[in-house]
Amino acid sequence: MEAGVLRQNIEALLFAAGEPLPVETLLAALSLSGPLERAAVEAALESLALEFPAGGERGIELVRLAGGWAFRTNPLCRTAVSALFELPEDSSRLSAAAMECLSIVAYLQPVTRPQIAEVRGVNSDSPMRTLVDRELITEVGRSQSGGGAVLYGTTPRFEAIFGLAGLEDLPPLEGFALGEEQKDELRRRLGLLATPD
Amino acid sequence: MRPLELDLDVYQGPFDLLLSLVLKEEIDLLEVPLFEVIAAYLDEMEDAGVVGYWDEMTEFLLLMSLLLEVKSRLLLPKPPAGFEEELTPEEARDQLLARLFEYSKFKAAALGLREMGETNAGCLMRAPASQKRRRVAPLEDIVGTEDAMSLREKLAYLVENRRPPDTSHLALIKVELQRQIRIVRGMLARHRRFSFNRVFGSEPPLVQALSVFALLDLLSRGEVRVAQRELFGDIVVTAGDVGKTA
Repeated sequence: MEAGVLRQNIEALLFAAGEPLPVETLLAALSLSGPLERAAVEAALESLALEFPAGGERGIELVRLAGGWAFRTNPLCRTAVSALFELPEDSSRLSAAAMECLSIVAYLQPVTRPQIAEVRGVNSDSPMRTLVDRELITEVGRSQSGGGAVLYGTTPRFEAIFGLAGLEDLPPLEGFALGEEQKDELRRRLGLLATPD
Repeated sequence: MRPLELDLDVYQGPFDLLLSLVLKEEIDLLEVPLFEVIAAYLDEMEDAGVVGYWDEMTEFLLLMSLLLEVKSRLLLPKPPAGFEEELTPEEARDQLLARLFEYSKFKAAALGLREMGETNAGCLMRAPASQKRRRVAPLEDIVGTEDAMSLREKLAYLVENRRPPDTSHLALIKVELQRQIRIVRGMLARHRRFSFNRVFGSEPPLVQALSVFALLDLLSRGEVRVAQRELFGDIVVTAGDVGKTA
């Protein structure tokens, strides 16, 4: 398939989809296979992404989301878009407890409820139910060791709502660690750091 | 008394409370009125009429008792050397600190995640209006899929896109009591007397049954008389005295 036509077809597919399409889906739709064709599709996607850059001048942008590619409105147009359409639910409607559980599942998955309770120091069944109801997390299996406890993981919907191309897009957890100064301060205030007599 | 506002829906647990008490409010443990915190917490629980929050309460009390111990160690002279316990207070405190450090990472990550969500919430994807017209994945794409999430998605897709079952291959039997009554009346108007088997004998069982109901209905109105010589034998239908209007 000629490069221009390929690009045109991919653009049409992404427009019609209304959800992130993985490269595999695009290949299948275009009856293509093999590494060369895959490279061609990826090149076409990159070229389209240059034309519809995130936060660029166009009203729509092409982004990598939840393991695929998707067209969506430019966030710069949020006000206009929200005047006519309901924007997807945003995470500000989740309680702080639910957000904590969500971040623990995102980073430690697959993870059990007791493990989450251990990290938070509090029973977390209620916020976990909320997250399951909102399809941000889901059961992904049973723990082999922990008496068959349910293991939880995040869903593609989670990645789509938080604008992640994939889980590897999550900022490193260690970046959120307390600084040494804060740690020392905490130690000192808890009386663990010998204060000079 | 230090006001302690605890909303159970947003109650972040003892670690959160400790972090905000000790770090954000910048107070030393020696100054934290632990008794008041505990009393306020229990009052709050009682006022809210809360029962069944034992997990939260026990964690809270556990943490507070740990803090009390830590605090008393600060106030009291050090114990004589060689005094050993299963878990020394120092080890207990180190564990507590390690858990606090670990927890604080996720607390901060949750804030970061919320920001990402808010940034992303300004974008709208085309409503999947044409989703219903999307072709179902070929069977070979679905079978042998070991990835539970993928399987779940595909099942969800099938459920979302389900259509009413195709019944075009089923012949619709159009039969109703009123229609059978009309037929019987018509037969009687023309013939005054007819054999049930000859008229309805070749009809499907459902039609035959409804025709019998029609006869019973007309019989009760006096429009027909029926005679049957033997069990399961033919029924001879004759016009009754009433209802010659048909």
